[in-house]
Amino acid sequence: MTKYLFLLLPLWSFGSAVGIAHAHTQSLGKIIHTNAQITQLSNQKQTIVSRLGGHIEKYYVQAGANVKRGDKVILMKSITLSKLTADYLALKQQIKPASAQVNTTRKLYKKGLASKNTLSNHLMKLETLRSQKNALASQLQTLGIETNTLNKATDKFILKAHADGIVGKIFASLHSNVDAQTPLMSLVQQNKYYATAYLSPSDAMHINNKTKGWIKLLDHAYACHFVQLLPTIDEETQRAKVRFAIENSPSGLLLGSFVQMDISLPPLQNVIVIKKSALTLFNGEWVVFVEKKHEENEHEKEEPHHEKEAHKEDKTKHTHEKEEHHDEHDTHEEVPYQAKVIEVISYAGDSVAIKGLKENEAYVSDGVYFIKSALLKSSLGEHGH
Amino acid sequence: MKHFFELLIQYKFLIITLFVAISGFGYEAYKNIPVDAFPDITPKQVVIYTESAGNAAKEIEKLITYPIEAAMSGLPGVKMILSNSLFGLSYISIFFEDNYDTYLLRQLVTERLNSVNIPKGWGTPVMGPNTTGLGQVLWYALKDKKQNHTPSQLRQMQEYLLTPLLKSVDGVEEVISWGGFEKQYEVIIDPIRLQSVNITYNDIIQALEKSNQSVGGQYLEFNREQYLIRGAGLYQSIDDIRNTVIRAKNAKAVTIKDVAVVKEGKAPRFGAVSINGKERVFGMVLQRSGTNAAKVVDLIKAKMPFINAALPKDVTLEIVYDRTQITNKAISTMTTALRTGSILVAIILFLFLFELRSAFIVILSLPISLLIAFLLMQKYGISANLMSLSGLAIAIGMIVDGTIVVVENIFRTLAKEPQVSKIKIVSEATAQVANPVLFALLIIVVVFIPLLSLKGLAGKLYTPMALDIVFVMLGSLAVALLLVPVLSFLMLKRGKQLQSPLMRMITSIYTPLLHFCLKYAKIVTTLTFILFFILVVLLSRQGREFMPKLNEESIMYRVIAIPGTALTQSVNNAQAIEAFLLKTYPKKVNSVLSMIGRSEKGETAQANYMEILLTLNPTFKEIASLNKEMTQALKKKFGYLQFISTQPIAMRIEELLEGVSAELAVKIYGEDQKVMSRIANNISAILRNIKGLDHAEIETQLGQAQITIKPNYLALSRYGLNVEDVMQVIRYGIGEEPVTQKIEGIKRFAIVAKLQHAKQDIETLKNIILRSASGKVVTLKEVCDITTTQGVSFIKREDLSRYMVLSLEVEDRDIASFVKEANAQIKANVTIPDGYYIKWAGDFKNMQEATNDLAMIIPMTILIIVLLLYTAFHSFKKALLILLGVPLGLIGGIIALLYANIYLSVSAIVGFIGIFAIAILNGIVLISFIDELHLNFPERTLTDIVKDATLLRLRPVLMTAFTTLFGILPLLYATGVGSEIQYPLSVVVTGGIISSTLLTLLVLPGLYLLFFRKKGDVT
Repeated sequence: MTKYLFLLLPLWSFGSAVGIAHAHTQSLGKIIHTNAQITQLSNQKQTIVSRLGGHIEKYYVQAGANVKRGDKVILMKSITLSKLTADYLALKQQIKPASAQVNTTRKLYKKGLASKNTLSNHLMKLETLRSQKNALASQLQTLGIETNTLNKATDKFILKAHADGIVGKIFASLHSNVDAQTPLMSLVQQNKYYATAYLSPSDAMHINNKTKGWIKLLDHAYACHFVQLLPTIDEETQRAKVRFAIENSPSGLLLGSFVQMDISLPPLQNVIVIKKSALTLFNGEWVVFVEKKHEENEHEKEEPHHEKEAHKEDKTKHTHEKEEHHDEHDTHEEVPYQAKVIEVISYAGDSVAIKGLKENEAYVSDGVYFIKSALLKSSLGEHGH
Repeated sequence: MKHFFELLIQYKFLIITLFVAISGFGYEAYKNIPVDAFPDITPKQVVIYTESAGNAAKEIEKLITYPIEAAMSGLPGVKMILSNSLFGLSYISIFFEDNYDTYLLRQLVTERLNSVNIPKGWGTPVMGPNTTGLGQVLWYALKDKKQNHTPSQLRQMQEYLLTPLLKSVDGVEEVISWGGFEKQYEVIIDPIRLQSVNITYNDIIQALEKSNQSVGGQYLEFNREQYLIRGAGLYQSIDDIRNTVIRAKNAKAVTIKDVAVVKEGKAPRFGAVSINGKERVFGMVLQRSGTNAAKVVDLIKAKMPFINAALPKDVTLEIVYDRTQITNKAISTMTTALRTGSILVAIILFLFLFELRSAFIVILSLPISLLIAFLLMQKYGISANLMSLSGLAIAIGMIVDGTIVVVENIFRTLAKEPQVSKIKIVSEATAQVANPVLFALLIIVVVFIPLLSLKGLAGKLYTPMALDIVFVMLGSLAVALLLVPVLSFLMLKRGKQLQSPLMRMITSIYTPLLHFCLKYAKIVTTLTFILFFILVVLLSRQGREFMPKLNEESIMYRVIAIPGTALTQSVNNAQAIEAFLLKTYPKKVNSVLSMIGRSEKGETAQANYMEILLTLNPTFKEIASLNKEMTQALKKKFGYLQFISTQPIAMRIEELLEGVSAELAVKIYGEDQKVMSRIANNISAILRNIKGLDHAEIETQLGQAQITIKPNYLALSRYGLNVEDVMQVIRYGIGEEPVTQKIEGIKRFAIVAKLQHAKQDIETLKNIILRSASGKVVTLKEVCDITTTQGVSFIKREDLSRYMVLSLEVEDRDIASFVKEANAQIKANVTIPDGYYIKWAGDFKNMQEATNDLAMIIPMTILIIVLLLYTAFHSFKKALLILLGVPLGLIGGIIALLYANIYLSVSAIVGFIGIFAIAILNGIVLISFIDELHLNFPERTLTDIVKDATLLRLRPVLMTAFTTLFGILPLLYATGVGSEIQYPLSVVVTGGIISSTLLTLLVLPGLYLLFFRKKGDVT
């Protein structure tokens, strides 16, 4: 972890603190801000269709109403249903005598009073009736009519919501006659919203299954997870569309509305990270300031003896001149920092991923301006001789 | 001649009335004469500035500065064109010959400006205020006692209340507002929302432009009455802006509030003002050129009660700097010198004459001559300033010379010839000396006239002084020849001339000395001239400077941070400095004012530059030492800033001269700034080794961090965008250029359409979202190449050629010798590529110009004097003899200069010119008297005649010498503001008078003897 050592340098009292920090390695993600549209999948929108032709007697619900699966939504009067139920009841009635006749014929056959052929004929007639009744029962049950309790023919056909949702639009007007298969109303399923983010194609290519995002709605951020990168670019905006599922979204989101979405792209792995406040442009390049190494010592090792002597003499002379002409030279200290050129890879909030510093290398994280000023100032030759 | 003087005496009361009247008018003139610290030395210039918000220096140079410069370069009378192209501003100063009328020049510039084509949206060139470089007469700050008002509100008071009120004061040309914040209405657009409502950035700009309109619909007649029709579509409230419809389809409208937040904000600014650690709203009053600073300030002060009444009760106007303060101090220094000089001269006169009546007449000539001079000053429009008044102070001793000669002659003759009528004696005695007096005074006039032909700054500085000397000498001539005979007739009595005890003592010492010198005339003369030549050699080695620094009794700093320093940082820097100074010097510093960057009206400073002015405790006097100590403390405490000590007027003068605010500078000319910068660095490195360099500062034109957004045409076309779309977003959305204005009464506030978070940092800028008309959405970085580089901060040009300045401060060494050594070093060590060259600028250049001018003028003057002398004496030999007296005076001047260890400045040279006059006068007095005696007593030996004449002339020679000496002494010992300017002059003149008088009395008689001794004459 980065350690910040704020120290007031004795030689370098800038009037404010110069902060030192250490470069460190970490995974650095990138957040992009983009536009996203609230959507739902096409299968979440359903239509209630009249499965029988008939007359619409009553709507139990209005558009926009919340319904639960099984709630009554429409009352129709249907001749077809009337016929079906009447047929069903008739069949039910016919089965009883047919069944009795079969039993009687079976007894007579055992006594040899009736032929096998007669018994078979009666049996076939009963089975035909039963299968006809079952077929009708099944049809009626599909229409939502309980056959067990049906004891009277009816034309009242009640349509019920087949899922939880909100009544969208009512298509057929009241007291109108409709054919079978006519859409009567739409039902929208709740609680399953998606955010379709519009991203630049290059950003979109970086997205994977682990990508997370957040949408901001009414001062709340809702987490989203990646679902799908749609295969084609949006023609209108020329952006790639990426579908995210909104987790724990509130109900009643307005479909089609645009919201701001922040997407966290997969992180850069193990990059050198420094504080953004350490960066500055210096002689046309991005640099950070690092403490000056004691080059003089190294220099001395390489320097031939006689040159060293000359150097020394020079120095003495210089110091002498300094004292002679100006006291203010006392104030001019050598700046103990030097600029190191770095390459910026990526920005992320207050941090920057860079190349050019080693892990744990100390750098100036705050007060860069003062050091830059001091360095540039001394190169301007502020102090004369 | 005699009859003329008789006539004068006959009409004595007329003459007296005439002089009383002249004195009355003169007094009137003295009361009303405009006063100023300095003569108006600013060159004739017209400034053209073009505010081009948000644009960078390079583009401004190309698109604005160059076309204007090119158009102006052909104007009549153009001397030089200086320009500075910097971030958001093009600033061009055109310097004209001084003989052109300012209003004509402004007219010509306007005409030319109309022909200049500046690309649309790049700003409109505006002529700067018609003021001089020293036009800042009053600085003030708004004081909000109860802190009830926001900086924006104070700024509004400044702009819409104070500025018009102050501008209505006669002589005020412009009021510059600085500090606080300018209010603007901000439409902060959320670019992400543009996609949702299907509009583009351009739609918003157009909607704002179109929705804020007002038109007139003429009138209709109804029931015999006229009803005016007006279309009132201007924005009335902030909600009107919010409800502006951007696009409407099927009666559904998208309004501004759907895509943006609208609120009051602060306009981007380029400068700020801080006083004692707090940001303040500040105003600067500029006087119109040709008006008098003191008068303008007086008028403003008279209006102050109205101004304060117009302001809210808890807000007052606090004066921070008042030019008249320094003016009054300078004038008071000079008037004190004048007054003291007059009193001293009067005492000397009495001591020498030892007779009350004659002393009274001579002393009376002093004020009358001065009043005549004031009358003439008023007539020729010369203000009473440091230079013109010092001319009077210098001349004070010489004014009485003519009168002394006349009175002395009348007095002597009256005592000698008791039987002749008084009128006859007075007129004859006057006529006797009229010629020498006339010639002597004429010679003084002639000696100073060459100063009138000095050109440039030296001319502007020294012309008023020379003119004043001429005026006062003409006045004294009139008094000596017209009034003095009349007064002498009325006041002087016949009687025995009393020998002054002082004279008796001097004569007893002088006589043996004279005998000795006449005996060894050859040796004495030879030794004197050897001494003179040695001194000339020493003088040629003495350092030179243009003029001594004026002590304005104030401390000011130019503070420079690295280029590209943000304004916020500069404000922090300023407030840290203010706190430091107030804490470190609580008893000495009353308040600290920092002017950071520039005001919004055509100033060229950038945010990294500030000027800090200290208001010192008025009881504290050790300003120079405090300044030195403070400078060191500041340099130590704020190691990252450059501090250059200066003074308010001095700084403006320095800036005006060459566009360089340093006493010495090297200008590097060329094309590529990187090359120029390299040359400057090389030169700076070389100069560091030269003794005397205190400080070298390269005006760093490079180093401004820039984010360049270069459109990628192919990428743009992919998204259905064009360059204009991008530029519009940069100009309005990022650069906050006003789209339209909200008018509130007389106040106008910009409405800007800026993009949310666009300027948060470089990354957010790169990710600004653009939307094309066809609906395509793209970030800025996808359609533009965005690079961060360090480019030029500003570009300076002189006469269409770019240049860079290396400012130098030289201390404890004269500039001339420094430049000489520096030049040699540069030549030997710095390679300057083809197409690049260097020039020296600053004070040194003025000195060089002045020296060159004087080198031409002085020989001409000598020639004229010789001719005058020849006319007076009818002998070239005598003319030459008198001229030989000049070195005798110069000896003392040079010794004094060397002894006081001051540089040879123009002021010192003027002093030498003064000695020239004195030496010649002394010569004339002596030689003419020797001649007269020779003529009257041809039988006597020349040696006797010379001896007698010299002894007889001892009193007038000593009197003129002493009066001149004591006249100038107050200048030598003056300590007030402005005293340092004439210090070298008074040093030289003091030394010169002493040596000239001594040597005239000791060497000149011997020289005469050597010149005119015939064979057989015995010493």
